[in-house]
Amino acid sequence: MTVVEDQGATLYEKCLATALSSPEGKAKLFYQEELIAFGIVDNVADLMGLCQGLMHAQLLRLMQLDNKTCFALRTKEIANKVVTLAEEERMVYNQIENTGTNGIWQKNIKQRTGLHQTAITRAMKTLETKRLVKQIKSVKNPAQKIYMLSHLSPNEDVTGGPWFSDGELDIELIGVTADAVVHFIEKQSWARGFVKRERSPSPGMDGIEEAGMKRKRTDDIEGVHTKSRKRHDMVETQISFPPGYRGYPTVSAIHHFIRESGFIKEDVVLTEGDIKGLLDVLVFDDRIEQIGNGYRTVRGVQGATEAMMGMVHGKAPIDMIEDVEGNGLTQAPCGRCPVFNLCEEGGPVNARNCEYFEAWLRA
Amino acid sequence: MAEHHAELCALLLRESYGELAAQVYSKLAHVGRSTLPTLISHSGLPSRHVRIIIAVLIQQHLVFHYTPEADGMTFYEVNSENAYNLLRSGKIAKVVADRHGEDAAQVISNLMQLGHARIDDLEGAYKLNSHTNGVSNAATDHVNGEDAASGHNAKKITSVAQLHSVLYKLLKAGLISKVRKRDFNSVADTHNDAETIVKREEFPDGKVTGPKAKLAFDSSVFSLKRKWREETDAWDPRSASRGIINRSDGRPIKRARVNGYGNGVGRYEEDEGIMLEGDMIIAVNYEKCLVALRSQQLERLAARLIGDTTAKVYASLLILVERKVHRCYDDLAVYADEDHEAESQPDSTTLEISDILDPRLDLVTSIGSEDGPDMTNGYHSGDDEMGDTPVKKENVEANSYRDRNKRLKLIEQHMNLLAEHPRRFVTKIGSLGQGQWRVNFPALIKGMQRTEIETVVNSRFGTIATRIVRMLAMKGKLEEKQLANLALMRQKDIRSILTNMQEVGLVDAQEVPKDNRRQPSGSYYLWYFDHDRCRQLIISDLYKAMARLIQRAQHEKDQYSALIEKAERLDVVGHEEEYLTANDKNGLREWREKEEKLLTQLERQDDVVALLRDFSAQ
Repeated sequence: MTVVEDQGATLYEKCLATALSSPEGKAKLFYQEELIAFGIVDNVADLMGLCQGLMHAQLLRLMQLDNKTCFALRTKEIANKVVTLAEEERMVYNQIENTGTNGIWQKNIKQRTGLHQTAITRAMKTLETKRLVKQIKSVKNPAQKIYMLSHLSPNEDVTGGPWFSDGELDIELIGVTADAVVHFIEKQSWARGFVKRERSPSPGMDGIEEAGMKRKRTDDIEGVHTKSRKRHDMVETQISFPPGYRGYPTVSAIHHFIRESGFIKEDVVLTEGDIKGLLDVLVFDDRIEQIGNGYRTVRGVQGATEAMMGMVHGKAPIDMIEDVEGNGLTQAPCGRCPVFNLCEEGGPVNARNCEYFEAWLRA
Repeated sequence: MAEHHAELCALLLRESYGELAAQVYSKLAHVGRSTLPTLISHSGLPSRHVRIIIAVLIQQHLVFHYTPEADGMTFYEVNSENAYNLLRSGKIAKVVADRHGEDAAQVISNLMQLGHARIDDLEGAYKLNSHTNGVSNAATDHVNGEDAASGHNAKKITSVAQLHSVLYKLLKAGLISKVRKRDFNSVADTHNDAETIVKREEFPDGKVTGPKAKLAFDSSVFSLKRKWREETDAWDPRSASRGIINRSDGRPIKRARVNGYGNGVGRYEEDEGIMLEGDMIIAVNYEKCLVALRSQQLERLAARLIGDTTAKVYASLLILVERKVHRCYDDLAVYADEDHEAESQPDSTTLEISDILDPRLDLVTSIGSEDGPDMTNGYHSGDDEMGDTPVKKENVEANSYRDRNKRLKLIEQHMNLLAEHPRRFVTKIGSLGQGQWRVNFPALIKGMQRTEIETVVNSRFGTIATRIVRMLAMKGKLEEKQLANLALMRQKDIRSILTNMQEVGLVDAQEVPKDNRRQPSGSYYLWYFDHDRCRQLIISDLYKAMARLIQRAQHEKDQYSALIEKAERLDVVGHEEEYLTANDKNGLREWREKEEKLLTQLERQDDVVALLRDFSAQ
């Protein structure tokens, strides 16, 4: 082994060690000054010789960053494979390598290398059989053929974030996670308490109470109708924490919960921003509400909407019209009548011959 | 929309005043503002009938009439708002019964039937003759006459004094008001009148030209209209010298002793001896009744979202602020912006709430403890400043400052709960009177309207559609892709929902071309949600649906008509057991159940109409 080769090997080892201990890891880039600072050689010309040697062995590759030349490392295994590549294959490989975790579109490779399509296809085949590159799917352009080095995992721009699996939005995953989140929040949102419910003395009040009840989502209050002649009924209900209560779960608490509960695959980065997005959707669904710095469930809500959960069973979103309580219009047959526009007095469809009314009145 | 509204009103009129009235009404609604001869020729009815019906409808405030000063032709126009109000009479009577007792409800429903009435005539209608015997049993037991359902039992009007005291109470609450000549003119005619007067007085040459003059003209018309309205609003039976003429015992008028109008702690016992002037004409003030209905809906919402007790505290606040307003929204007010409008909303204080809040209401157990969710039974562990036992009845009634202050603290807690809720039921604006609370009605009502629209969207298009509508309402215009990202949905999944909703007009898309070739493929489509348009759409559907409910109810009645006639036969009434077979009774019960189902739904649809149409500016 020549001195130059030996020095080259030392330089590589030093670089590798520095890279591994640096925050960037193996992806660390080295500038010329840094390499000289290792003290293996003291002039630029010698360093150039060393680098050329390493580059020849494919252990080092040349890059441009901010108009400055810099060097990046390759592992020995990969370098060994790359050494065996033909010229065209190497060109393709370099292009793919340079795009890092973003991946590159086949058409762009063609553009940048200036190679013929058949040459690229051939090269790609070799690279794939050698397990140097892989094809990935991008959420942005699902139809494009995108390639990236096989040992890298695509970044968030390509995958679309934690809610995507195989380049597609994972509705099931969202549904399950959302449901869990709502349950998690629900446990900390309301105190369970027994509220003395006075029996209404006047019939007039009764009417109002009943109208109010119809609008409620759950039967946690109304379900209890004892026949006792007491003046009060004790009913279990959700009661509010005092104003200014700080125990409502915050975004970071919910973030923590989701990470711990293992809904999201280990290797996927789940930011608080992603959680915020999910919580926003739940707010739009009227499942939870923001209060102070935290969230609590809307009173009476337990779990995510059926539509969200229904995704799990593979129903199309349009089929999932939930049987929620609704208002005077939506409960009457007219509110959902498919021929409402045709309905008129004396017309072919009218209130008298309406079969929806018939069914509704009999129900 | 007008068509469905007219259809509904005609149906309501048919129920109350018969076929002929309904026919004339719908004809008049159809041809619009017209003179009597025009109407007669359009209606195809004998002119004598039309004249009689028009007179009846005017008495009922269902038709406006207006005679311009220049020529003597009188124009007639339907009063569609009041026609619709026929539907609401039951609901209004119920609110009045809750707040002011059964006797007041009886008076107000009679007034609703009569349209308007002179007090003397009303007296006559009740066939009362004694001046004295009713005084002792008249309302004396309740806290302040607005305390729902506490001291009222089913009282009948038994004496003139009682009638007058009830009327006085209702007048003071603004639920009935003095009828003025202008009440018979439509809004447009009043506006024209104002314009004519302003033109005559301030622009003698009769020309309003140039932007400056136009502005001055508009503001004068505006202020004149305000002045006219304030005359009605400000009329207060206590201060009006003409309103109350004497006490029942003939002694000179003594002004009712009340502790100031605003703070609402006035007691009504002093009202006993008040006699109202006999030839005063009064009618139901539907605008003020709507305010009460609005409070009711807000209370219901608070009960659902926070809890019953907090809702009751809220209801007390709403009753207090009701006293400060004459109508749900002021269409003649000018606001610089939303903040200014919010600042002009009425407010009240914790102290005032505690004055009218039911003292038996348990305020403690309805708030959880700070300790966290896994406490037992919501019972207080006793380490906070709220006291360790639930407030007992005796404690409250004991005249102790400590208990009173404790209670004030509790009320404040409930108010804080309302304030921190995302709906912002109240806003704290100061610490006067242990906390000064304002209710920002426009924002609250808008939120409730949106909830109602969402309910409709939900029932027609599903939860995902509701999510989309809410997002559009909050974020403004969004492109399909952004929408999909925010909703965590696939683009292809929301596309069909969006187009379905666009078809019925609940959402719409704006086309923004990228270049001047305006190709559809090269354009952005920004989806948006138009609150007011959706509101109108749904109101229109509601009118139609309500008309169908009434028609169906009529149809059901026809189906059972033989049975109903039998049950109503004079020889059968009172001897039902004898004459009606089991089959008959079953049939009757069936019919009643069906009718009740239909009418309940009708009432609930009216709730939605009230919320969408009447509680906020158009």
